Amino acid sequence: MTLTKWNPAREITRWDRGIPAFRGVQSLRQEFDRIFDDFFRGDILASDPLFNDNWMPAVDIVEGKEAYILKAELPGFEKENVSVTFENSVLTIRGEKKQEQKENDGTVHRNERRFGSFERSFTVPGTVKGDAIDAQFRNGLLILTLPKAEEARPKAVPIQVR
Amino acid sequence: MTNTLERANAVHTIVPAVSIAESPAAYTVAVDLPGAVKEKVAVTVERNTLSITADAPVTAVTDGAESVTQYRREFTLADDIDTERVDALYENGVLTLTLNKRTQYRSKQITIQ
Repeated sequence: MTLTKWNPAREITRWDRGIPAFRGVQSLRQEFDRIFDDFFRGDILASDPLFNDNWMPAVDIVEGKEAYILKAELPGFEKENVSVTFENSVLTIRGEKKQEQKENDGTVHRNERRFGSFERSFTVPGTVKGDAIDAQFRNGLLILTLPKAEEARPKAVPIQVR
Repeated sequence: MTNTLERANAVHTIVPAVSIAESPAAYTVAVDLPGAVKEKVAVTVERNTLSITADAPVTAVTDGAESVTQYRREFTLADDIDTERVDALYENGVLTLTLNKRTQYRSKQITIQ
């Protein structure tokens, strides 16, 4: 039986995108990630305002000593239209944003922004205290803090050398 | 002695996504600036260049270091835009600019004497 390193931020539906060889070129890689994100996250038709249904918001997940922090970019959403649920170790973020402009009024010159409803889920390690998850939504950014249970926090254990 | 450069604020620049639509009287530009605080959103028009910059503060989880994500995008405006009449509204991470067109560029009915 082999042991594989468990990735707590693994998503239910998407493939893992690590490119270890390029880690040194940080900002260039982040730009490429964004380009590929925009391509794979949406549909090829996503740039057409009428077909903007399949898009996923960008999410950053960082693990700290005491908690996991998840940040989702949801510009233009109203707080009432964003919901976060946690059930059976699955964290789900849902949102709805209706199209803002009336399409018939004029010409659209450029449309890079995405809108529409979305739902994105993540498996969360069992060490997270589900009832202590904190969610804040400000300036279009949703920040979730998932605190780790005591036993899961790294502790330095002094080892006696005999 | 600690190296002061190590704790200098890091700045990471991002080009924000925009939507531009044109109606008979104005252009509407919407810019996605998730995380930016209103006081740090700056819109300037110089001659015919429109500049949008905004700062979104980021606190690193691992060591609490403060850094800033800076959004920055520039556009060249055509002559039909009245640079004195630009409206800006920032809400929920979206900056909406209304660039009114100069009156002579809007279609007018000409009365026949």
